[in-house]
Amino acid sequence: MEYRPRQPEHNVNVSRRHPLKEFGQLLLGLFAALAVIYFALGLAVDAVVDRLSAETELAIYNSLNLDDLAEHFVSDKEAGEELAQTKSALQQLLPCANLPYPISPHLIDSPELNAMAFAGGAVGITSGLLEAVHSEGGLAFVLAHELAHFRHRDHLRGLGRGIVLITGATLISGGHSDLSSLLGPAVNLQMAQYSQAQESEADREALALMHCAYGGTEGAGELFEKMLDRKDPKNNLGHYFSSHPQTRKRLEAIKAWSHPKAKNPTENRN
Amino acid sequence: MIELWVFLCLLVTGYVIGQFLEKRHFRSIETRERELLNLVTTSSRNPVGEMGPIARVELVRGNCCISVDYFKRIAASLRKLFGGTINSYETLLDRARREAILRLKESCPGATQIINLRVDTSSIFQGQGRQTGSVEVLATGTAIYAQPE
Repeated sequence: MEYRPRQPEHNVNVSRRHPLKEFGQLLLGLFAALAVIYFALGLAVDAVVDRLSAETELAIYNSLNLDDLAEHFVSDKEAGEELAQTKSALQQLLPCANLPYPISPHLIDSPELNAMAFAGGAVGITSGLLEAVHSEGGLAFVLAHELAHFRHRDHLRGLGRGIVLITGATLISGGHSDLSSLLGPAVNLQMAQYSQAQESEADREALALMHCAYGGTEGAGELFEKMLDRKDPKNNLGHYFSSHPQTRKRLEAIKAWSHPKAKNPTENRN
Repeated sequence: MIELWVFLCLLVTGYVIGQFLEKRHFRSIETRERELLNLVTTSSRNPVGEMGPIARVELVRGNCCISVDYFKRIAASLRKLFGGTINSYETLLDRARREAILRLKESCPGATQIINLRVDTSSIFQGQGRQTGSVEVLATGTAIYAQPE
């Protein structure tokens, strides 16, 4: 028996695959799987949200932690006068909207043209928007648009999808791993991101609400007209996300639906 | 969004520097293995071949602890989703084992043979529960010194 050691020609204990190639393949596979699951569960979320009762909806909002919302708003005392027109428009619209919870308007001190709906019934309007939009119709359209989001429970859809994503990641990776901390920041639980279809639907519903409350939709497009006038590329924060072609399309859509010869907007919905 | 950028930076840094350090380590390992090739090392329980009179024996050990880089950790966690060989840890373990055995050999210059080679591997956890941060390999054996002629 002779001891003869040798250096192996290549390392048998190590795989030949390039680490980047393997990483890329795994990542692609993961994204594909996640996309399919997210899409499928998104459909399920939609189906559930459509069938929720009003009590359940209220219970969900109450369980959310919305205390730090107040930081964004100007206090009601200071905002009182500026919100006067808003409040009167709301009073006209609310009976038609038929929501199971109260809607409270708040002022946000910002020069941008923006309005946001927060889960639970708070609506924030920027001082910039109030300065730009003068007609009652224009303001009513903005408010009706937010009310439409509430009616469609768009917050819950976004929330539901976010929860599905995080739950999935946590279940797969087991707790505080890199995967779930990567996906966590991607889901903002307070400000929902609305899809274009949801925005378009909200526009349509807003016109229907205005019809019900005011009998007409005059001045509805004022916000978009003012946005186009401003031509300010920075006008795309938050909920409205309006790059100009998008704003123009929405303005044209509103005009088409509001045309006296067109059918009532509620009938157009399929 | 910033977390994503931090994550990507860590990934790239981990990958680049990790690959560099790994290749350098492998080169060092291969060189030293070639030098120490003739020190008979086996896992048999008895001396191999004709030994002649034995002067002394002693317990020798080689120890090393090597950590994964960030890129490897993420690649491994992806692999754990789908199953299969975790290529990123393979090089880690290979390096660690070979390094430990080399250190064992280096710890007993002048030895004639090393028998009863045992290798033990253990993971050192990062403390966050189940994340394996580094691996420690301990190689032990009995070094035999032949009676000088």
